[in-house]
Amino acid sequence: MIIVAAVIAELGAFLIAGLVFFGLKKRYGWTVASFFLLGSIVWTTPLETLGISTGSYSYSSFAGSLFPGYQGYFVWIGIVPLWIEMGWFIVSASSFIVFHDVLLPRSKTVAGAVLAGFFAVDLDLMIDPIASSNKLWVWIGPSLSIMGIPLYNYVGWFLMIFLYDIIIWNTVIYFRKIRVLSAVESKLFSIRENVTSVSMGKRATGFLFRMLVFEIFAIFLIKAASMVL
Amino acid sequence: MTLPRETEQEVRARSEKIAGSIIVILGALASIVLWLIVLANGDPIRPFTTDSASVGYALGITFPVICISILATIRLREKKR
Repeated sequence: MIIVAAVIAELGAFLIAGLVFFGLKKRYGWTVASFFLLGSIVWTTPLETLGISTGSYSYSSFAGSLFPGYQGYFVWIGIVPLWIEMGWFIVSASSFIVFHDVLLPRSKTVAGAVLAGFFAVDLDLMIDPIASSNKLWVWIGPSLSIMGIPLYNYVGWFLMIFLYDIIIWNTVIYFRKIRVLSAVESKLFSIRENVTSVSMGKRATGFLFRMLVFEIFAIFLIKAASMVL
Repeated sequence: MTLPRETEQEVRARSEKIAGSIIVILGALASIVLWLIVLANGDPIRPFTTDSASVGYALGITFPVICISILATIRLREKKR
């Protein structure tokens, strides 16, 4: 039965997210792992909410199928199932470690982030067709697509993983200037040097600020892509 | 008698090994699952089938994952030495 796949997907995502969190904690410690996990939820919820509320896709195929009042999945953040955000966390953290830590430890941040973005798109080229054809989520709006998946979805995956990678590297792993934001940030947070040790409050504020700015930028680009493609 | 403590480098190497191993396992799992999907002839795990376009698509997207998993394994072994 297809509903079993939905339950397995939800529980499996939590299990794998736990494993990835364990790996991040071992490598970088509790603080970075927690920033990474909580940041993934904050980073993806607005975009997912926008996608659902504008009718691009839906997560409600299984609503009412297990018991009365069942929404389609067990745990939700607003109108987004939490396991979807765990999926983003798994892909972004895996890509981050593979490129920044294992394969390209001495390369520039941007190079690692670009490859992480493409790697994530490649992973989603398997995830999305399987998930949507098994109704874990359903794409609604007509669009140029590959195997039923709109092309702008992959633009979104690249942007979201690429930008989150840049934010994590420059805010959580280190606390560095991001050139395009430096004029504003030098006034707001007085970021002048590349440092590894800053107060938790300053790091958290910088993290939220950067996610907000880049999120708006990403939504704008993804919306433009959805209109063109 | 006190036991010798791990140096920072040793701790870092151990953590890298654990984190890297998890990632490599995830990559390998993803590849295996996908190949099972292809071999299962598309049902009940849609939309993959054994027609050439579907197999070509599956090969095209699993190839980079498999390559990256192999490269990561080699790099982790080098670090271990």
